[in-house]
Amino acid sequence: MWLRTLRLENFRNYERLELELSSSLNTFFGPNGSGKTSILEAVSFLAVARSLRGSGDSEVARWGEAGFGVGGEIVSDGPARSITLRYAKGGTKDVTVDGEPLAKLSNLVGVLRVAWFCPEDTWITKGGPAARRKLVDLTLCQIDRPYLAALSNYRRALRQRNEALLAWTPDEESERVVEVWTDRLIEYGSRVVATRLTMLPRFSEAVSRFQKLVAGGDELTLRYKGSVALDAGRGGAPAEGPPSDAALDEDLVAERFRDALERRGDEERRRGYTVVGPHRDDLEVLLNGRVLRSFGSQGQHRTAAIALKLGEAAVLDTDGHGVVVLLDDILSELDDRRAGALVELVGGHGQALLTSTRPMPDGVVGGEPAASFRVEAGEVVRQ
Amino acid sequence: MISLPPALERLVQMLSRLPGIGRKSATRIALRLLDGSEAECRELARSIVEARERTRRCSICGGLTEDDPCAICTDVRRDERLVCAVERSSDILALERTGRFRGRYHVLGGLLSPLDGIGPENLRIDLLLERTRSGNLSEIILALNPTAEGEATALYVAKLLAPLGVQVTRLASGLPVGGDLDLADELTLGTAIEERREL
Ligand SMILES: Nc1ncnc2c1ncn2[C@@H]1O[C@H](COP(=O)(O)OP(=O)(O)OP(=O)(O)O)[C@@H](O)[C@H]1O
Ligand SMILES: [Mg+2]
Ligand SMILES: [Zn+2]
Repeated sequence: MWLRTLRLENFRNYERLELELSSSLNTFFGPNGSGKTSILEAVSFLAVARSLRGSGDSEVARWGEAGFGVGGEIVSDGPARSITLRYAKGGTKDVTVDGEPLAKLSNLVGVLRVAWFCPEDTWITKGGPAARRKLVDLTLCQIDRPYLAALSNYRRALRQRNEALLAWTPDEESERVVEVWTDRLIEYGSRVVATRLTMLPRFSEAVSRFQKLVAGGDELTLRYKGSVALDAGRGGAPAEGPPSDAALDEDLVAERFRDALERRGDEERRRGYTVVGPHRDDLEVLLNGRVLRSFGSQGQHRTAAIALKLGEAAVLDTDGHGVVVLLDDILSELDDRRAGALVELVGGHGQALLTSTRPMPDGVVGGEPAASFRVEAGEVVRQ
Repeated sequence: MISLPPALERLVQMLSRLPGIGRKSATRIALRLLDGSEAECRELARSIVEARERTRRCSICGGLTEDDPCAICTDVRRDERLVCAVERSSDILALERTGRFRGRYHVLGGLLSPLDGIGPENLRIDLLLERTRSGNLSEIILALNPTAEGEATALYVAKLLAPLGVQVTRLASGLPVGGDLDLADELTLGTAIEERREL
């Protein structure tokens, strides 16, 4: 699967733009503020219906305009599919696939899968758990539609339950209201945790493989640190052996989740919010067995971030679906040899879009046919 | 920018408050009304007011009706011991369209949602319990949307019904998750009600 054409309308500094992309490496070079990142951002709208640069929809519309549009044509094994996304300020975002309007924006997610690399990725290992949860969630949402549904239901149930805990008074009715939201929290939350755990070995394997390629001997591993104690539960599993199949895992997680909520029940009612669950879990990143966050050097964080992102791309690419890799400005921080190696690795997944302030040095080019574009003040010219 | 004449502008604003109608469609509807005859406009205005004045909630089921109790609650051919609890009165219409349900209804008037400040006291749950106790009901079908709020409300009601010795069932799955009873097609909804399962 790859993106053959990209169309923009009133998007950032582009009034109108139509691009024919290559199925392998596409480089966009030009001065600061010319509109390179905006092109990658537009692709993220076609993939997940929002900006992966982290901007709100209204900030993206060209100044003075009431909305924007992004369109694209996706080539895969089946017939090519055409996606159009339209946003109107104060109104809604509408998406059509092959001219058919989608009932829900979430139905778009997964058609075009993307992995976004940028210099700020070092915060994945430097920062708090939220950034790591985001990495896991964004990956899973693109490959697993039921995960996306479970996650959004979980978030909804969590907000409802927190509100119920805040309003809680020691009487039967109030307790019953909290109970029914606890039940929802466990139902959706255990699906979220079980799916994360099922994906983890694949992700971890890919990450440590890429770490070796990028940094040589160092061992990079991932460990799920749940607020619900799961390891303890596995030890106590029946004699037939540890539960291996996903459905069983989900039941086990649900059981542990319920125990944990019961244990902290008094505290939750006192504080007025939910203190355990997948919204507080962490994905620990360990370098040679130690938590990278607490001791990593700048270079170690940078390398780990690249390995994590390449691992993400590999997971997104499972079942040969293909993934579009978006590399925003990350070569500037690498020497030519490393930059070349990275581009090579990324090329293994198929299509990539890369931005840089300088044209690519000789030798740092992906497989043919590669395309190179010069970007200047909202104009893009193919070289 | 040219603005609309004041009276027309007011009409557009009123129309655009209606569900699913944005300013664009509101303007189109308003202009279309002005193209028609004055009699047509009066007729429309009168029917809105009349519908508002004559329609009320049935004191038994909570559905919309002109006569209280409503036609469904007084229809002796319908099984009075079988009650289907729904979120809104529009759900009754959806279920009636399937032609597969021959019991009575009970409109809860919403779903539990602490975020919106909707608690049990805002719903017609007490009335359902009272109906169950005094009406010798045999089965209550909880036909609520399979959303977080729908599932939470169903469990809440089921917990209260449990000690009363009435059978409590749910619609069979197969409805789109997060979907609307209103939007489900008749065949799917009909099957869901026939293949209901015990909670
Ligand atoms: N909503 C908007 N409307 C019009 N122009 C905008 C809008 N938002 C940002 N811009 C401008 O669009 C230009 C393109 O921004 P973009 O981030 O794509 O640049 P870039 O080429 O990636 O730059 P850099 O090399 O500095 O990262 C910038 O000059 C920016 O100020
Ligand atoms: Mg940029
Ligand atoms: Zn009635």
